[in-house]
Amino acid sequence: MQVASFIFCAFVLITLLITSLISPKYRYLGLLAASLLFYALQDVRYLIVLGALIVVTYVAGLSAQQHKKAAFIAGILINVLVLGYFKYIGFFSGGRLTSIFAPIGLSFYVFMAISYLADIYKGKIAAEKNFFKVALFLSFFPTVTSGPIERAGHLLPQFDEENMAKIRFDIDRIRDGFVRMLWGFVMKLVLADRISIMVGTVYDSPSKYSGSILALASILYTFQIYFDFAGYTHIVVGAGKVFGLEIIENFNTPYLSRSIAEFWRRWHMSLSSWLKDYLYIPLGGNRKGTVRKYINVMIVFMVSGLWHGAGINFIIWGGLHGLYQVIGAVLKPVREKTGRLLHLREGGSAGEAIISTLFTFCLVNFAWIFFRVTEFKDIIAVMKGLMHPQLINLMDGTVYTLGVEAPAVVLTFIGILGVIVVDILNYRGIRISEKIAGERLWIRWPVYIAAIMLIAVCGVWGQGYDSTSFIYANF
Amino acid sequence: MKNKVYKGVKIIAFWAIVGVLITGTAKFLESKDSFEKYTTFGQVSDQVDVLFFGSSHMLNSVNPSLLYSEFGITSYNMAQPGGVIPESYAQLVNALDYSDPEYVVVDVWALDRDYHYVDEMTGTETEETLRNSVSLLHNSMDYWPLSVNKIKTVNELIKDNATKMEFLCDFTLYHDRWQNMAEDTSVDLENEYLGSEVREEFVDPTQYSPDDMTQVIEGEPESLKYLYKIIDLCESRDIKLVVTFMPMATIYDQDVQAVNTVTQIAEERGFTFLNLLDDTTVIDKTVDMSDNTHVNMLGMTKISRYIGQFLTDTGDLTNHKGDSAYSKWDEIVSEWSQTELKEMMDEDELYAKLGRVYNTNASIVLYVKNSSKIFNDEKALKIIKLLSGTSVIDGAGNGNGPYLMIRDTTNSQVLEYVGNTDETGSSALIGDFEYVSADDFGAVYLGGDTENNMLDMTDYYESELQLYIMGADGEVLQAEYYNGTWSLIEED
Repeated sequence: MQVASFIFCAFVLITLLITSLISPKYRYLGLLAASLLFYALQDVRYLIVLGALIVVTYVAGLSAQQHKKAAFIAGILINVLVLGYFKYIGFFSGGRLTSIFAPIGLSFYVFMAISYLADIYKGKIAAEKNFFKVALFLSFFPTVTSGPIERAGHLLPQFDEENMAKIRFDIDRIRDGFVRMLWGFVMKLVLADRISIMVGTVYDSPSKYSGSILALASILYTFQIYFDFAGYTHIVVGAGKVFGLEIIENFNTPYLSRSIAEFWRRWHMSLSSWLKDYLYIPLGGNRKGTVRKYINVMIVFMVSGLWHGAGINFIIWGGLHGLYQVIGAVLKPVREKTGRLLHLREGGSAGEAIISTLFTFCLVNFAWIFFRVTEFKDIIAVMKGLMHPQLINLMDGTVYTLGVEAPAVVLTFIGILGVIVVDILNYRGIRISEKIAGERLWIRWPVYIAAIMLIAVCGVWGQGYDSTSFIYANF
Repeated sequence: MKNKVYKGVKIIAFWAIVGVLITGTAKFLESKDSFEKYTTFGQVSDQVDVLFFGSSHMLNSVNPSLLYSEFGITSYNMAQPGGVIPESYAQLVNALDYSDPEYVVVDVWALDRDYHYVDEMTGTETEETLRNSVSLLHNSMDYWPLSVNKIKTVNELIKDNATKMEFLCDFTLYHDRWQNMAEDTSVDLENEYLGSEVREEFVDPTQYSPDDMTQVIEGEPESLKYLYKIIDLCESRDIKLVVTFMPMATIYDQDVQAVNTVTQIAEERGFTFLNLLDDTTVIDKTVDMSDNTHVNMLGMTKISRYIGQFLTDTGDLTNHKGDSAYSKWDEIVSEWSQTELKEMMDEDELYAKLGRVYNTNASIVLYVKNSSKIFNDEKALKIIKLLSGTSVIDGAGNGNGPYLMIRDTTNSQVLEYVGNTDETGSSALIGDFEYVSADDFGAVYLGGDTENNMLDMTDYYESELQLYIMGADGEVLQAEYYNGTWSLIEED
């Protein structure tokens, strides 16, 4: 079952209906049953891996509570080894070994398990004694395939009886949840999946295209991965809202960041904060001198790259982001001095803000090329191609030959523009969804109906399409 | 409580609006291919006496417009390209929801096929072949509104559940057509060919037959099972069944097996089997084939007349011509005639041009010069003989002088002249005329005006053949001149 599907919406509604009939005290069991069913529908074998890790994490959690270091380390190690086997065995064995299958969402719930154990060990939270709640925490169906990487301290308390009592047919809450999901569907099905066709066409044979088209493809991919993952996040956060559960946010207008450091505070926030809390700080963070700090930054970002995929290209991608940060930090005094010489306002002028934002976007965009193009020869072809822009290709109709019909290309560019505008408004604290929800019915309904029709008609869905799986589900 | 009811009503109203909008949009975005074929059927379905089913062999062989025009038989050609017997069965089941025909005529090409799921076929086909097969089925099925029979037949033809949804709710497939709506502006839902399709090509087919012409189908492949289902269905509905096998120049083992098997079944179950596979009496395979296994426009006309005559001879059918209740059929056939005339006028390839002249029963003046290659072209000569109804042309050309034919269909007369001659006092649609010919020269003088030659012996003297399409009042509607490769040199 795909998250970006009508079936998922129906699944959410049916689960809501059933769980609302259960006594609040035991509603988490209804959610757990739904979650396990959802995960088993992906592939029943995955359930075995998830089940085993739930047991390990639960037992290790109880032991960690009693400061049994060995049990805590064993719990962490088993999780890491399971992740290592299923995800990295091929990479680290040079392709000589392969895992028997690759459970979807493994990277996400292993990280959740590690954070759960670490937080208990550090005394931040108490170990959950109810096995089924731990199971629900790790398997909660909206987040199990692609996150966000929830923290036990945030999600587990929401499974308490008091909070579970909220699971009922509260029309306004359900509406708000589905409206949030609707926006996610637009980003995913109308924009991301159509962009993916264009990007795929170019990157399948990059040597056939000029630099301008390759640059366009890289920009399109930058938006594709954002719309894809942010779209997914809107759907799962919306689904959580339908149940009265708050799922942590993962994105906050990342492409409006003015620096790479800011970008990582706005992009995949649940992973960034996890890496900071459970890797960067344990490594010493910035407490052990500048050089060590830079080394730590590089380690964190290369691990981040590796987390995204077992491939050199992902490590390069992570390494690039690390490098951006280190270079940024090294050059900070120079930039500040230049600013003072040019009498630039502290805090930055509007022009400086735009230039910083565009420069950061370009750096991020360049790094995404390594994320998307997995073959070394293709990366070389892209880099060579970028040296020969041939700008005419942007206007001679080539863009309409990338697997998407001209009207859909126009729709895509309008859509990209639309999301940028919404993000700018969000950046300035104006929440469009809240504004619409606060409007009268004759304004609200046409907007909602237009969104539904947009997805129904212009969405990439139905037979003949196979792009509804999210990019981040692969990680 | 009041508040809850109010919210409930709002939810229902909201989704009702969405439902209406999606239903309307789905109708708008639907592919029109199937509707191009069957919309006219929907308009006349309750008056149809004969339904034709099968594959491209049936599609290209029987023209219901001709059947009505010449025999007053109301019929519709439901056949689809690649249509295997299970698909014909599905079509029949759905068509019978709207029609109560006297006769059902089914062509049994591919009777040996041992599958009924078109999205799986034999399991060895490529993904592209399977997708193509499913696409073709859409042309058959999209037209039919959702019904119990549609669901049943889709279940019989499609294995994959997601693909079934394509047929039962085609919005899942066609919602993306908003990008191609410009194509729909040229769609004409009126089908004046009543479902049939004409092939223009004239080829020299490879004529081949297997050594063993007695072989039969072994076992009971799925297609054969579905033929039995068609037989049972027709019997249960008291519909007379006729089974056909259309002519082929290249005959394969499976074709022989099919006709021999059906011959046996026809005897057992008591239906008529019109076996034209190896026939030489209805069509001429040297002229009437568009490829090795399909007939062209001339073959279609001949087979249609043969079937029309057969159905008429049964005495079971009423000639509906002149019946005011059937005026829609007159309109359709009138439209068909107009289209055929236009196609004939637009045609610029000689064989097809002459074939269309024959099919439209047009009046013409045709001149072939003495040294023309036509006289050595067996196919061209046969078509010209078909037009004249005689073999007079055999005496012309190759030193025996030119050939002139005046085909006056208004007055049902054909005048032909060969060799060097000077004919005066003749009269036809073109009026009184004098024909003078000598070696490679010909002149047709109208109304005693010997200053003006109707034939062009100056600018187009070198042309191999001159063709003049005449109007009902004897005026020249079109003059065309053909070169030695039977391509059009010029037209006036």
